[in-house]
Amino acid sequence: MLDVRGLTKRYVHPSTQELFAAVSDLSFVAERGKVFGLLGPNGAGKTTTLRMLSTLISPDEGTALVDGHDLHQDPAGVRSAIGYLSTTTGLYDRLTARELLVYFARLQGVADAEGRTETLLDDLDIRSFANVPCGNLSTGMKQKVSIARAIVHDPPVLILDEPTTGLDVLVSQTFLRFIEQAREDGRCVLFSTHIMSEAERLCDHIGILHEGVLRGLGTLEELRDQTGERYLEGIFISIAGER
Amino acid sequence: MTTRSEVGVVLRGDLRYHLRDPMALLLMVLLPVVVLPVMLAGFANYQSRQQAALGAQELTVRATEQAAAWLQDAEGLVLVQEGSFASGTLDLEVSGPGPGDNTLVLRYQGSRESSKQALERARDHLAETLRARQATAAHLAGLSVGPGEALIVEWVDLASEQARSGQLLGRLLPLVLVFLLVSGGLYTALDLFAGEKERGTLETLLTTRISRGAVLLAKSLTVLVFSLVTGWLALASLWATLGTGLVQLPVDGLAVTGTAVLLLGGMLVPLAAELTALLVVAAAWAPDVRTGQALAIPLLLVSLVPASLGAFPGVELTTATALVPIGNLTLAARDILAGQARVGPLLLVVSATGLHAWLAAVVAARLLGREEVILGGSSRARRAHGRFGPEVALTGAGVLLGVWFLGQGLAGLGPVLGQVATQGLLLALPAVGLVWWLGQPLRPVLSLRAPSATDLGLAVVIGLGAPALSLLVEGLQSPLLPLPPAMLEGSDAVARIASLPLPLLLLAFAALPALCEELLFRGAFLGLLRRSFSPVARCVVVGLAFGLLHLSIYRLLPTGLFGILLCAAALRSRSIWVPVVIHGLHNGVLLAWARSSPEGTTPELHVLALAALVPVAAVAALGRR
Repeated sequence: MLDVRGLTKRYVHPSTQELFAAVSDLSFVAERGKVFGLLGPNGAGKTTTLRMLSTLISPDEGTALVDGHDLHQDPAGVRSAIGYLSTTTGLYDRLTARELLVYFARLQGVADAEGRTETLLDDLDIRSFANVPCGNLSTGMKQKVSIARAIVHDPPVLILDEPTTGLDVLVSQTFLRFIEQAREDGRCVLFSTHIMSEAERLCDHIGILHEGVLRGLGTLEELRDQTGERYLEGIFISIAGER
Repeated sequence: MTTRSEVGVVLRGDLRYHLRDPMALLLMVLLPVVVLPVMLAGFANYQSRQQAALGAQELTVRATEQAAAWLQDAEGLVLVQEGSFASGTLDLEVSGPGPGDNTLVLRYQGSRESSKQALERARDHLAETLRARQATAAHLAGLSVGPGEALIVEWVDLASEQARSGQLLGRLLPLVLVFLLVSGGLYTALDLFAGEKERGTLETLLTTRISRGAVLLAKSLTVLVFSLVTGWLALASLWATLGTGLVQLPVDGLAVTGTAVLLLGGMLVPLAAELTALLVVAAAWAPDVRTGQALAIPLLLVSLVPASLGAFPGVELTTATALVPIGNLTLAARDILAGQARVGPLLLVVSATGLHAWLAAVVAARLLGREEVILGGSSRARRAHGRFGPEVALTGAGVLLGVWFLGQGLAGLGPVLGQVATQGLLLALPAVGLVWWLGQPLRPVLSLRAPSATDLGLAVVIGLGAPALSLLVEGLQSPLLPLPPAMLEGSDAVARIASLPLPLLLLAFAALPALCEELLFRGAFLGLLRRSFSPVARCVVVGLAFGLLHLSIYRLLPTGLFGILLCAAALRSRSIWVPVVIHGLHNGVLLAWARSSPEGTTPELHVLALAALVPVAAVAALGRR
């Protein structure tokens, strides 16, 4: 479903002018109906990885197969297969929730854009504010519309970049329930976070990324066995080597 | 804390904060200092060229027998039998005087510069001729020179009312239209690119299956629609205002025909496309709306400078002006309003504008292809990627303008002091200042490292041999681009330094430029463009920029190629001191040779070609261990 093979991305360090790898030789596999959590502190390379997988930026080395589509050879196929959501993705303020969903359904080539929109309005409990411009919605309402936007074309893969960062507990719950639902629907979810409790609750597999390198990979149980630590926070600190 | 000191604290904080904003500094200092002088110098330069071209042009006159006799040896006028004002083949028509008619009538077209010039020449010549004739007649009659004969001279402007009012309207309207087209598309462009980057909707859009090319095209078309509708509405409103007499204008005969409005409306399409492409480039480059808004003012000024071409008398739509972005359309609009538009020049204007718009669209597409640009925070991210192309280009342009505008003034300090000030203030200071301002480490960027002994030896060989290369290139280009006599004889500047003692001459004109120019070109520019271009492209770009600095078309190629050679030497040796030594010796050899051989005899080309092989081979040997 998501087969990442040796992804590498380099940048020039602003002060030393030397090249450094933001992500180095990253490989992992995420499966259908599972949630893969990419954990790491700020600057670990999580966002760079997810942006490469959503074709926003190009890897310097390596590739990935997303639902069978290669990043380099079929970027449009990759984008058709993913629903992408991050803390920085936004909504069009002057479009209503309904208009926005119809617009994105058409962009994604959904045959019955209006019909699919109506379904999502009910599924995500948006109908009551469907005709309100997105700029006038509360944060929680906006997140629901964002989720609907990300799955409007029913993608088999979801790429979520720290979707709960900056949200209050109640709004975060909307997201966490959505991720659980996506897993039940058989989607492959790649989810980056630095909130350990979320990862513990949701992730079937965890990759620990530190300074661009994948330092740990496995299920929560496997990581516990490897480190002897019970909680993910301890596991993370043990693997990243920062106490 | 008193209110006064509170204000002081906030003021100091605000000033400190905003003086660190390059955009604020650009708007506050660079624009006002540079824009007006550049604009005026450009127009003065253009107008004097136009005047010179017109002065050298033979203008056509059709005249009746007596008038033809008076005008036959008039300077700059040629008598013709055929020709018409409409086709532009006739500039002046002179009739009379005849039997029983002592009136001399000069007919011209006041809406055409060449026709006005022909009238002026004919009037001057006739005045001279008639005065001489009068003096001779008076001498033969033994009388003193009396008052003129009763010859009545009249001149009649044949330009139609439409042409005259079109000339008047044509000077103002195109400027207003450009302003409206830019302002009509500006907000949409900013919102669609910089705004969407800031709000994260561009990121959302680019993760859908739609290609980036389609996104760019669709957004550009949206901007075009807003810009074009603004322009069309303005035209419609103008037509309605003038046509219905809704507003009483203080100028008589100000009118615009329906055909002119339709033609202008059509010409607005390529103009709006060109401006849209410009807006899209700026809006795509801006990391956020705030930066985009700050860019709006310089963008508007940049558009209005060429747009004001049509407002200057004497500037006509020619093959050359038809290629000037934006300005060509304002000149075409002026001709349309004056009813003097011709199909050929209009087609050239539309084709050139299409080409400009396409080039700008390519730049916009390349910008949107860049990761750091589409993800916002472009300048910070671009700099994090070590790419300083815009900063280097701006500094290069600033240095060029500085040398052009201030160089002459500084030369007034005297040959040596002027040279020290020019090299120090206009070249070395920007070199170090740019690297420091960008927060880059000076030593690695400027390649301030000692060269190996071998490279230093090779630098001496290259420096002594490089003059042969410069002289060879000058020799080869001379059949195509012969040096004007003034340059062959030596300029005033050369004469001023000729009397300097040789050691001072070498110090000021060989060693000093070697150090200062190398710091800027082979140090700052070559170092800062490391991540922007391949080594070969960097050598060509920086080398040609070095050629441009010498501000002479005749020296562009020799100095440009020498610049490329110096870049190659710097890259291969990885030390700034190698090009410094080469440059110093090159200048020193040429100065010493010019002093010892003032008649300027140059060796044969084949000798120079053989000698030029030595520095080229030596550059290839640099950097080998």
